[in-house]
Amino acid sequence: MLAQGYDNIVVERRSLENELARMAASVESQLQGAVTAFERRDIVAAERLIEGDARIDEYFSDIEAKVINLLAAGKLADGDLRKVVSIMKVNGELERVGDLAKNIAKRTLVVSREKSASPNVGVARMGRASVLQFADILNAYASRNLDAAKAVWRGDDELDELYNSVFREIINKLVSDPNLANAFIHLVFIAKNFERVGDHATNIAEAIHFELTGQPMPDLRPKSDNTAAATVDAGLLD
Amino acid sequence: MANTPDKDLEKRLSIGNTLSDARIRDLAAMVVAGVVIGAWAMSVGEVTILNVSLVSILFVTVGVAAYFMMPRANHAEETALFADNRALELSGLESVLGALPAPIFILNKDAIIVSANRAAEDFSTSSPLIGAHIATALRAPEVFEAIEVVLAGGVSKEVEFVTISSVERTCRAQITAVEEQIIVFVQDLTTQRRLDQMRADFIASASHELRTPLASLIGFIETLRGHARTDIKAQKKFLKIMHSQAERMQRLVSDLMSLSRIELNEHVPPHDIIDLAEVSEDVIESLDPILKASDAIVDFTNELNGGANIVGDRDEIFQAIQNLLDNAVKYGGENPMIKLRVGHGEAPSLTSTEGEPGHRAGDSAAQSAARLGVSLADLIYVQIRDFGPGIERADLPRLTERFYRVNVERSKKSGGTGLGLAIVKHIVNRHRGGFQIESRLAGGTAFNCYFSAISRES
Repeated sequence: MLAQGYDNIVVERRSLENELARMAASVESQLQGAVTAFERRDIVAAERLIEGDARIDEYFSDIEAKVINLLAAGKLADGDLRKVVSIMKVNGELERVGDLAKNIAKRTLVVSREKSASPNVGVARMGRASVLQFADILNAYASRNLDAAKAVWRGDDELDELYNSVFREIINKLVSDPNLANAFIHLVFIAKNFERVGDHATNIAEAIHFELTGQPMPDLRPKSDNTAAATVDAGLLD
Repeated sequence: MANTPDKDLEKRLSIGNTLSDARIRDLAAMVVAGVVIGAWAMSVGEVTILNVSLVSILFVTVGVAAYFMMPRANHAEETALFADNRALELSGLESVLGALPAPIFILNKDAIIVSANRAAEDFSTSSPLIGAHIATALRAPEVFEAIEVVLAGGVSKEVEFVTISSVERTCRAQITAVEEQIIVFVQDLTTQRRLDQMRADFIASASHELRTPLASLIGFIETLRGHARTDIKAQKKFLKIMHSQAERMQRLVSDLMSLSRIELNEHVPPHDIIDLAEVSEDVIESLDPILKASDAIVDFTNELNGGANIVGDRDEIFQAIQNLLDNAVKYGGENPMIKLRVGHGEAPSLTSTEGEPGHRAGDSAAQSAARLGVSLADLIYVQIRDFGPGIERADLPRLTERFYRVNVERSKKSGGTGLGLAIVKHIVNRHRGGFQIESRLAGGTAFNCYFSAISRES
């Protein structure tokens, strides 16, 4: 293919951005749906969400193919290149969040068939916090708002802190109520998935920073998931 | 359908001075808008100031329509105007739609927004709207999928969707095709939906939380009728316990009710203008007996000199500050020292060079500003800070959870219902503000509420 005219590139990029906007809305809706299905122990909704992920994978492959075409067509101007690269990055992050939502829905099927356990409240709360953070970053991306993106990027430790707290609660409950072990293990994974939604939101924040400034995010993000070293409270083992 | 702009222009020029197709299109759009406004007015139902204003909007619509129907002298000017984009063609209509309190988006055949009213701007979480794809402004797959159906030849479609922010809203979008444009009209159904949900939640929490104290009351009554029937000393003791149990239940019911009330209206933004500093001072004054009883001292600082105006519900803000101050008295240690501060920008942090580091939970100033769409300097905060033992890091992000109690025993002894901070969180949510907690073990805790300052022009 010959190098394309400038107008053509702009048109292609706009159409890519519009497709990405549709994908973002679908992923957000899947994530939101996964939290609600988990909260309400709604097996029917969870099954629908699992099927819904295929649409997101379609968006992903389609956008990826279009990005590759655009990159292969000829040299892009600096600004356009950054925009297209950012579309590619965000595309990947969205697809991963879609997978996480699907995984949460799958585990919801299992957890909903078990007896309701008290850590559900904390996990659902994490879910709400992750949806809000994801919505914040999509708003920042839609408006190309660097300050809003930075606020999300710095705010990620909120989900980490919630995860630490919920993780501790689940481990302690696991010791006192081993009959529910199966549900508790799935709850840990669901909580971890919500925490990872936050990581993907910060990756999108980095993509926005790159697109707008051409530079990576300047300082390192504080990482405060400390569950790698967490143990059961000593008193519970007696 | 898909004429190039040049062809479109040619066609219009050839029509000459009869009613041009562009004008017929505008008339059609106007009629649809009239119908939409009418349908909306009917759905509102009651006779309110809103309805009266709607009737006047209808009159304006008729007026604008008449204006468009009048033959115009300067056709060259008209053609030049119409040759520009559709947003300009609809400028007369736009002013009418602009006055409607319900969000309306007008899209071209590529689902790109060409026009949106003020309510749509408020409704959407991204900006600018004009030129953006509808999926950017209204991130609901149900809506753009319906738009695709309408664009593919459907006439109109109606879908429900949920908006995602700190307050979820259930909405219905009506999508109508008018010539080559799409009108998206959004109705908020949250009030109806919430009522059902709230009722269910209220019954669930009330029955769950009241079960234990009720069972214990029944136990005491049985004892009083049984072997304590003649024991005056035991009777006195039991009645005292029963009294405080009953009072706790009363507080619980009243907290549950205010929480339900706040949640029910959470999607309706407040509209009064209040002075945060003045409300804070009123709270301090009203809590004077409690402050005296626990030898608490409140140090009030107002950094703003009268500029602490926010859009808010006075009673709710009063309750939020009252709950926070009340907590500070309860958990601020012996003879608590409490600092209440009103200021702008980011609230002061509990910085210290010694001891345990502080931890934060909730919405940072930057996050609150981003969500409100204002700069950091345009935030107004109220901070309530105690110098008590502080809160464990693991409890910090969970504090605003309903019935989450750090220390069940102590909370019950001090009369806590486990709902105080949940109420504050919901009040701040309704104000679209941010709520942040910062705490340091042995250093105390600060609670910050962030709101948007009222800009000086308005």
